[in-house]
Amino acid sequence: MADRSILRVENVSKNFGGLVALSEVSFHIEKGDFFGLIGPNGAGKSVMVNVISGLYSPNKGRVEFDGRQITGLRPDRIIREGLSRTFQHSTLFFDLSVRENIMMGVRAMADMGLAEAILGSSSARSKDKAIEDRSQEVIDLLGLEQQAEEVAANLPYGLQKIVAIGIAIAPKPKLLILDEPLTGLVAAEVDQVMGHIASLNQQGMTIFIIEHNMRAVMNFCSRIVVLSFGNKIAEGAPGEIQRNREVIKSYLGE
Amino acid sequence: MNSRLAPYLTALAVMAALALVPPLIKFIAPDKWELTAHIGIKILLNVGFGLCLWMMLQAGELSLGQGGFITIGAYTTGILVAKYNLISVVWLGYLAGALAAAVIALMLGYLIVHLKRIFFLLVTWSFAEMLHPVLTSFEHPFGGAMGIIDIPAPEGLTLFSESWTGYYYLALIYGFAVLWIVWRIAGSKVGLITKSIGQNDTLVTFCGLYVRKYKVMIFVLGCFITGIGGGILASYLTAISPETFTFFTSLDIIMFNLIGGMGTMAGPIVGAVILSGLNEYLFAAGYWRMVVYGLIIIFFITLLPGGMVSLPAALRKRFTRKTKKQEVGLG
Ligand SMILES: Nc1ncnc2c1ncn2[C@@H]1O[C@H](COP(=O)(O)OP(=O)(O)OP(=O)(O)O)[C@@H](O)[C@H]1O
Ligand SMILES: [Mg+2]
Repeated sequence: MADRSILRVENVSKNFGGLVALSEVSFHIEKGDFFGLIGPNGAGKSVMVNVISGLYSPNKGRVEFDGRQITGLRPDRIIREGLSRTFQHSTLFFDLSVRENIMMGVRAMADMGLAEAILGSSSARSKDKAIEDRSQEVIDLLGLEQQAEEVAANLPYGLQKIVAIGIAIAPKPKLLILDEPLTGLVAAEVDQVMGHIASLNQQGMTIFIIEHNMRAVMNFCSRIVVLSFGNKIAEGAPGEIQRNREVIKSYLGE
Repeated sequence: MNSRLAPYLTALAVMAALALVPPLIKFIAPDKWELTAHIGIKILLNVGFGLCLWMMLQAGELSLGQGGFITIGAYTTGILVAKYNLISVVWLGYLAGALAAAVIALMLGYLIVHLKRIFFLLVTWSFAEMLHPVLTSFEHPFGGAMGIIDIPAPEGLTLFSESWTGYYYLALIYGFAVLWIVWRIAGSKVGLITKSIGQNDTLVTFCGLYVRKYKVMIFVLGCFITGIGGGILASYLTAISPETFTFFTSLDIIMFNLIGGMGTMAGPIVGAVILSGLNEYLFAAGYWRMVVYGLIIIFFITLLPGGMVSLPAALRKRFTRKTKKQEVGLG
């Protein structure tokens, strides 16, 4: 079993002063899963992603990614291990073009040295080419050809969300964590974004999605964990979650 | 014409034109050349300093301590080639000055480069201000309040009968070499990373890049190049003291970017040309100089935040907005 799981979260707690944002939360994700994390506002979902990706360090507990403990690693190191994430609030390089935004995600960016950049050596040129090729692939994959040279700030909100996903998938991550990729999108855009995510999953990428759009979560996710006030209150397949009384109570309020 | 070569050819043409200035002026108005040369030298060195800061600004590093790195470059050169004669080749003195500036930038940068802009500004500023009492207090090796004298010209420059002509060409090469380096970086993937850091460093981190490494790298490179300029200045001035480079030296380098605009590389170049020229007159203004600076800063921040480079676009916008208003009024 252990070798099948790509992410293991064990007894993670996170406090902000007196506020308990996460309390002893454990769950794991299997390779190839389409995993959903849901819960009411303020439940601690984003905090969980921030702990996993190294932005926050947990007060207790550990996170294991692909068989390796990543708690305490620098965020950029965690990303290079093969984990990508997006942010809840539209986060892009707004003054850069779509193409440049996506290039920033490409793994080979990290290999470019200062001297070779100045001198434009043949190694720099081949790295340049690899970066450009990969960003073109992502642009084609997400259907962004028309907007490739546009400045990100000028794009409609839905496309900005897609570009953010493009940055995250550019390094070909093993695990893609999406924090509310559908918020603020109209129905057609929701279908488009979910279509992209589903096809990435079919190609073997493990998906970890946080969403309030229950229709999308219930349709696409194979397993779901529910958080409420920092506690895990349920875990299971969509059907089980929908019937779970704890979950219904937490969403409707008592 | 190959579009990749176009910027190089343009730069070469401008450089060639500037190289022809000395013989031309000497031919037309020989008595004007010395003064022109001194202004030209300052402008060209300042272009280099301004571009270094521009590169740092791209990465979100607002340094108010570049005068300190000029000082380090100048003093290292002076100490090694004049005061103690430890190095006989002046060019190597410049290299040593640049290395000293880079090493200090590395140590300082590692500590502060990840701080918020305002803290980075405060630390670089206080660092540069700290140099003054240190240089003044120690006769060895800094020469105390008197500083260092008899700093020689670099080898080869003595070929020119008038030293200022030689320094003019040296400054010309320096300015364009810096332009080339900064331009190469700006157009490279490292430049893209730097620009991205200036916009959203958290997202850069989550692209799997170690932001601190890039920020330190750019800061160190900028200070290294600035240090070379400091060495050249030491030779050119032949004597340096703790009063040679002041708070204004650091402030000016920011002002080049403010006046010219930070959006493109043309900004600091335009700014350096304007302010270096203006400074010749402002020097006479004495303590009123700060008043003029204050007005300039307020003007650009409030009315023209994109600097002189953005003036044509700003005017066009203002003009079209007016016509639009009139249309609305008519409708
Ligand atoms: N950096 C922080 N400092 C202090 N408190 C924080 C911080 N980040 C999150 N919190 C608090 O932790 C709790 C959980 O927040 P979190 O953002 O994880 O909620 P969420 O489940 O993502 O909610 P939403 O669905 O609204 O995005 C909230 O009470 C929030 O105010
Ligand atoms: Mg959230």
